[in-house]
Amino acid sequence: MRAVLQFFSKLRSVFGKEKLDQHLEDEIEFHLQMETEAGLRRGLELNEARRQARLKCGYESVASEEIRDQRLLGWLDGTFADLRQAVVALRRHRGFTAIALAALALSVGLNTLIFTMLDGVLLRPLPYPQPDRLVRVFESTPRNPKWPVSIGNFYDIRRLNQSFDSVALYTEDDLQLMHGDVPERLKSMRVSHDFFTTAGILPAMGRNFEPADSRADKARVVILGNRLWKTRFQSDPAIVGKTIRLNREAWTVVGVLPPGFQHVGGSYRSPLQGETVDLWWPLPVGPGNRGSHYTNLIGRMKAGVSIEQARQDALGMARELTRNFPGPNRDLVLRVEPLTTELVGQSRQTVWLIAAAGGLVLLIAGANVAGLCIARSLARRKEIAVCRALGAGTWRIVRSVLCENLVLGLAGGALGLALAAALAPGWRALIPADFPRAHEVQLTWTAGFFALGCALLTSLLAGLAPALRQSRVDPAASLTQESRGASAGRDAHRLRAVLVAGEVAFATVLCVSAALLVQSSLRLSARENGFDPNGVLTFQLELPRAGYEKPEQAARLYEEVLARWRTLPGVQAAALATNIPWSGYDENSGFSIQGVAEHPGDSTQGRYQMASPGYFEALRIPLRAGRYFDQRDSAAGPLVTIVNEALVRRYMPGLDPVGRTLEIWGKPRLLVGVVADNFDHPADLKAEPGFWLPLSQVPMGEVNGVLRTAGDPMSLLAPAVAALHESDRELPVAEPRAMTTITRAALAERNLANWLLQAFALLAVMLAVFGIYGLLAYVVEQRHREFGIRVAMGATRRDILWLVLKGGLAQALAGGVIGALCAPVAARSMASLLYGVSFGDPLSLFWALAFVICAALVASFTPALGAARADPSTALRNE
Amino acid sequence: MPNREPAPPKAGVLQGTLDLMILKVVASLGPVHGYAIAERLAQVSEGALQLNMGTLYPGLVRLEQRGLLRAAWDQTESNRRARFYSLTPAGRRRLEVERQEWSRMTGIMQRLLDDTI
Repeated sequence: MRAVLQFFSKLRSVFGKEKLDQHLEDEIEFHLQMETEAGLRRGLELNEARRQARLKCGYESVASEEIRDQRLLGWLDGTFADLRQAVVALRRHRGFTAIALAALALSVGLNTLIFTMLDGVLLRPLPYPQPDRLVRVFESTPRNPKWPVSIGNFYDIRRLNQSFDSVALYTEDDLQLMHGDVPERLKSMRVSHDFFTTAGILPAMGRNFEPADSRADKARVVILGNRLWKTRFQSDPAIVGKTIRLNREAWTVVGVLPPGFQHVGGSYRSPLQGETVDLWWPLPVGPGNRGSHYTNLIGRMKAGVSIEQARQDALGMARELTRNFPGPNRDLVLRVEPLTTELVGQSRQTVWLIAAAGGLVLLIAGANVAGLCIARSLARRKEIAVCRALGAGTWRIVRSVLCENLVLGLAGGALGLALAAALAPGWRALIPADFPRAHEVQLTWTAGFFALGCALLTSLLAGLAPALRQSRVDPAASLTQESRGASAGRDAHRLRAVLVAGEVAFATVLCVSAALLVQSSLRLSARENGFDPNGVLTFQLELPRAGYEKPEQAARLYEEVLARWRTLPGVQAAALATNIPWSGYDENSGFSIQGVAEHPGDSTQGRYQMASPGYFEALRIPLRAGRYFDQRDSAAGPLVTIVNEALVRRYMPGLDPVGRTLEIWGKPRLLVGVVADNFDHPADLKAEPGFWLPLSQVPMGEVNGVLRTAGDPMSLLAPAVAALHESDRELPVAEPRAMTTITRAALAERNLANWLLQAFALLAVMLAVFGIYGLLAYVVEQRHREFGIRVAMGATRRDILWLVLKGGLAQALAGGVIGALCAPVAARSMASLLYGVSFGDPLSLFWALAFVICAALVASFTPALGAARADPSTALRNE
Repeated sequence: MPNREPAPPKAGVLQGTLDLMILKVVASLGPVHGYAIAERLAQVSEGALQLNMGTLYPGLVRLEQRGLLRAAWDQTESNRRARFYSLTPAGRRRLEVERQEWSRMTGIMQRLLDDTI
């Protein structure tokens, strides 16, 4: 019976919680009133009577908490009460809250954005079934460590391998679609019939390719990407089996891919990974061709096969291929790389660098909040001592202090997330369009959890040290001594000083890293690029097979179009060429130099490109010897070539190159000129040997138009295309861009890292400045009396100023030196982004340290001036 | 900081004795509010026992939850609302048990301390 009663009493005390709380408060209020009246009766002032009543009875808050602890749900209940109180306290201390929240929200917001990048680019699995089984296979020789696989070798790999479920080839080969009378070039991939099987995603409508499709080269069948089917064919449900006009021929649609199918990407003859391909058509595969390398191999490993086993298997196959075809497969090794690694490539370092920098900012913000919490805790020491005197346990005190940090963390996380959401569109715009998996960078639930977790963890860790110290406060000591001399205060101050020094150290590391990147960029931009991108318009065009079966037909078209372009108003130079600098073009071929023996083990080869007269002039590539191409170099004229300096340096050192004969593709060609080096990739440390052949002598169907003007290059586009269409109304122009856009895009990733690190470094220094300022302000406040006495004893204001400044400088120097020592280690992590500077570049170190120390001085000045201006008499009177 | 605050005197209440004290005061004074209980204890102990609220009210709640006390709001002589505590039958029985236990215990202690051998 009693048990039942007790149970009901408990129930009442849980469900009637609000009511009971009210009871308690009223009861305590009454108690205090009675106590106060007793005081009044003893003849005390009202205020004094109240004060003594409170003192005698203890803080009412503690009493109610103790009572709450009696409850069944006492713990939760107490926490809620603590949270309520924390909110009240945070609202009371506006300054503290504002700074802590700002530091948290900024750093968490930033890190959330960075996390979206880390998650989208590196962490999220690729959108294929069991993506970890997908690998890329490359041919590798000492000369060309990573080459596409030849079709003949692929044929054997498909036959011989033991570790793959399936392997497939793909290579970009764009097709042209007419809709109305507007020609459009579509991103198209030629794939072996097992490509979709390998990727693990089959067409949603119609059928997959079959071996028969690729055996008969003339069977013109095509599979549509989902986006193209929606936009160009209005989601026609009966599209499968219909005929469409591609490259001026009739093609049959055999399938449509499901929405969201992403191409597997690649760095050579392939658009980026993502929804970047519109059309897929068959690639014939046979044992013949082993000399050309333009097809990419993707494979799906068998379940349970490790990458190591696949690599062993590949080595075995390479030995077999070398034995059977020693000519084309000399020194051949087959390299197997996971698709994920291959896709992200060099950008992995960029992402991790940005993430590490963001992490440092977060750490600094955390240290900042911790410093603020210590300051708060010193201010609360009295209050807490009273609580302890009233018998509050350690956990209770820690909990009440941590509750403030919990509220702070939640608010900071929410603000940070809001900030991240607000900045997300800008952030996505910052990420270069050709960054791997850039399309995956988005604010997801994961990122939201990350933001909140990050903020809570930072805030709670920041609060933990002071909270634990709080709980050790000896009540008697705090209540009876002045806090000024108390050792707890000194400890706390020391801890704060260490935190600030740490902040400065991290900020220095960031500044040095930023300085190194800036130096790299300066060196890169000071480097001779070998061409001038300003005022140049470029676009791609590709001749279809139909109507251009004979080389002369292409040559005639090019001549007509170039003649027309050169008469356009504003055109200073016009040309057609297979390659433009910095576009990542990479077509290589062997050749030989008459009268120069080939080094054993170093076959002479270079990047080849075709160009019409006017190409070097349009790009302002300097001539070093001989002449540029001109009208003499027609199809009927003598065969000629122009080489770059790198080729001369490497294969004809010390010889006079002009007038020599090079044997290229089985024909002798006269070397008529030498041009300056330029780079196919902007980050190339050295130029590769390269040679040019006249476009008229080697007509190619895929070329770039290059036009130079004094004004805005894009204004040339319409007249240039119109002039082209006078010759052939159906020729589409693709990717028209100003050359400066290309050079900018090539540097975009580096610039992103650059820009972000500068921003982070600045933010870090700002946070460190806040830290130093807070620390010194506290010191000045604490030593107020001492300064007063010093001034009274004859110290000048300058002495006092220096005394305080010294404190700030000491912090900055200690942190700065530690940071400068760590910086070279940190710099190693961004080796791929550095150009022409060493990890411990003294100039970067100097600038970074100078900046940090100047910032520290600025931070120290306000408190120092305040101390120097202090009136000694008030300082002493306050005692 | 001219006036230093004295540390509040610690109520050195032996563990377990507080419940007995409260029960006894409530038994002898009839329905009584918390302040009066504290007053009474201070008076009887000639100021040695200054119970603060952090000790007293948790004790009252504990006893109420164990069904030994019941509480009701009522008017005081000075026309204020206060919460008056009185013993439940269970509380009465408990007080009796505790009282006997206490006497037995103190008797033992007494004999032990007086032993001059």
